[in-house]
Amino acid sequence: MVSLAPGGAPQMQTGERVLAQLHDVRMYEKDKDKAKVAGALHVTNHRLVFKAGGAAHASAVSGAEIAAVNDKSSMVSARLEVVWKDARGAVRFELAHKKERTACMDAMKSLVTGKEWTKIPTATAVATGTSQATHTANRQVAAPTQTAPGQAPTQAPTRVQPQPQQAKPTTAVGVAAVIQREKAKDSARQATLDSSFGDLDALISGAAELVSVAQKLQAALARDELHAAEMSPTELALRNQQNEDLGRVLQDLGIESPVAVVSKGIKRSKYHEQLARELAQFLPGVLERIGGVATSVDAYCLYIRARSSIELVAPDDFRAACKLFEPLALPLRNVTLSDNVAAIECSSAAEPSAQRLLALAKQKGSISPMDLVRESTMPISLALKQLEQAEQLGRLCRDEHLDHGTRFYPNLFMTSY
Amino acid sequence: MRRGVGVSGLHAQQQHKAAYEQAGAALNAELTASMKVQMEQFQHNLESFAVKHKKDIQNNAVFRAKFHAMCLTVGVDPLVSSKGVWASTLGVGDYYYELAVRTAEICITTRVLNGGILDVEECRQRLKRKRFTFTEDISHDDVLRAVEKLKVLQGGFRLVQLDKKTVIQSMPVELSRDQVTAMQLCEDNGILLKSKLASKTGWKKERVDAAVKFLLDYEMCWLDLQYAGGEPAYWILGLVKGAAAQDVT
Repeated sequence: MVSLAPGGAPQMQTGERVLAQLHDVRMYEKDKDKAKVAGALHVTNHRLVFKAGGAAHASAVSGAEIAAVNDKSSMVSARLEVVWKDARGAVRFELAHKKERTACMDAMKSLVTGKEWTKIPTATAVATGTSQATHTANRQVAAPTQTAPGQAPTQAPTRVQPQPQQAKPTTAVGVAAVIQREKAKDSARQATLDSSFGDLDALISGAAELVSVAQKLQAALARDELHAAEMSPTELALRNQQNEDLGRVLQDLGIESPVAVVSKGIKRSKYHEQLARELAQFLPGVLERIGGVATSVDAYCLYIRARSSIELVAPDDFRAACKLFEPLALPLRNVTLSDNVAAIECSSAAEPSAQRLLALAKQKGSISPMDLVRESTMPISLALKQLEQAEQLGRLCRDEHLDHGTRFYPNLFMTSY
Repeated sequence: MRRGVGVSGLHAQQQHKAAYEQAGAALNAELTASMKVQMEQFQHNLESFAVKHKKDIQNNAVFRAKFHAMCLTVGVDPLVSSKGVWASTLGVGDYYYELAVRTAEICITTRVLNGGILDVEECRQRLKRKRFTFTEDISHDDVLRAVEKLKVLQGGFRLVQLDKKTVIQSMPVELSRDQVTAMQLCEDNGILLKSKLASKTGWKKERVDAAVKFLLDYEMCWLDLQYAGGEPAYWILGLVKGAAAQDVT
């Protein structure tokens, strides 16, 4: 409990100053927005003080007990969520005016990050009953559903969240002590995990709201696309800017939507261009050693290994960069093998690869795609592709027969004369 | 309400249209502004979250699975780009990209032995034995997610669900229902017998032969002519426990 000054404002402690003062604030527990308590919120450099309308006392929560403050505002209302450090969840404050949101948010952040409550002398805190008042207020704030709207949350809530069991100091030895210690560790681990899940919930709900706004904007811009021809240059520039902003958000968040592909494609091209050029420097040397053609997966593995686990590249980004080989006139080419496997081909590596296959064919007399598969552990379609490439360069020639299938022989006309 | 006709009607229509467009533009501008503010706020929250839980995400498989499940519910893919806020702030991307590469390497090196069929659990055991940059705690779910990521490279990697097991198929061939059924029947020990396949499914000899021949042609199974009982056995090594533990390269 916090006593009120004659003017009705909560009494401050020594060194305490008000950072923000908001009236007509509605406080409610997360997911229970039907049970709201109206009152005034004072954000000081030490604590949050909430005085319900008509109450004789105010409730307070020390900044030390706040884990995070999240902005949960929507298009129509300004809401701030205060997440507790223990497993009691969160409480929300709905502000009367949207313009108060920034000031209140800044004040709350200043309260949490400033950590000025640590400077309160213990004697002062005890003398003013801070810890007790905070505890009481905390319970009230955590369970506002116990009070009717407009009434002060004066009674202690009936629903008290279970606290994680603390390991009692013990002098026990032997098996019992070990079991007790393990139980204590387990419950501590569980409490940490619960708290982590709480933080994750808060984070993902923020993402969900953002996704919802982005999707609304995406739909609105898609509708505008139909009237693009009738737009003035200014409107077109504005729409392009909005598209760009949307593309950035979609890319950053990783929103999966087929409609987003175009805008994502525009925005990502710079990064993908750089990546494509980097691949064009790295891959030809590697491809020359392995036959001039490699499947996308092989090329990706080789590239990631070469980066030595420093800022790795997503498979999606790799594939998008590969698609830019032809537009950027790089010495690499995307090919699709006979079984629909994507592969990368290097034109400069074709001749060394053909020479290698010619040497192998001369050594064995002839080679089939299966021989090459056994030799190099590659998919059969890739082996066939490499042999066909050597055939096109005039190093090998094929013989197709019902008995032994397709075999490739050294092309004596082209290699011996 | 009477519909306007003539010139005044056209003027009224134009005015209505202009008013709608103006309102639409204002709404778009408001949405864009709101989106930017929320994005900034979200990034701030994500950074705070990363400070507290980055290690949990990388070291705790339960937390990681929950994180991905929740991302899925709101329609975001945190692994889609290495430049996205999730990957760059939380570092989830590097973990899965490295895992995907390691998984692909295991599948490729064991391909000569198992024909490109490998039980996910076997793959996980093998991954755990290797030194890993980011974490040593790899779950079944992590391996599945890594293989899903490899799909985008169109390299023939995919997951095949049997009855109890999930296998990674790294050879780009289309498995028919018959071949999958044959694998399902021997998923416990990897030993496929034609007589057992015929009796369990009621297929004719030709159908059984065709299913087994496909697996044999693509080196997904090995023929054992000295199997106990005299009947030839077909070993699908990708389903035999511990078979992938042998280094084949």
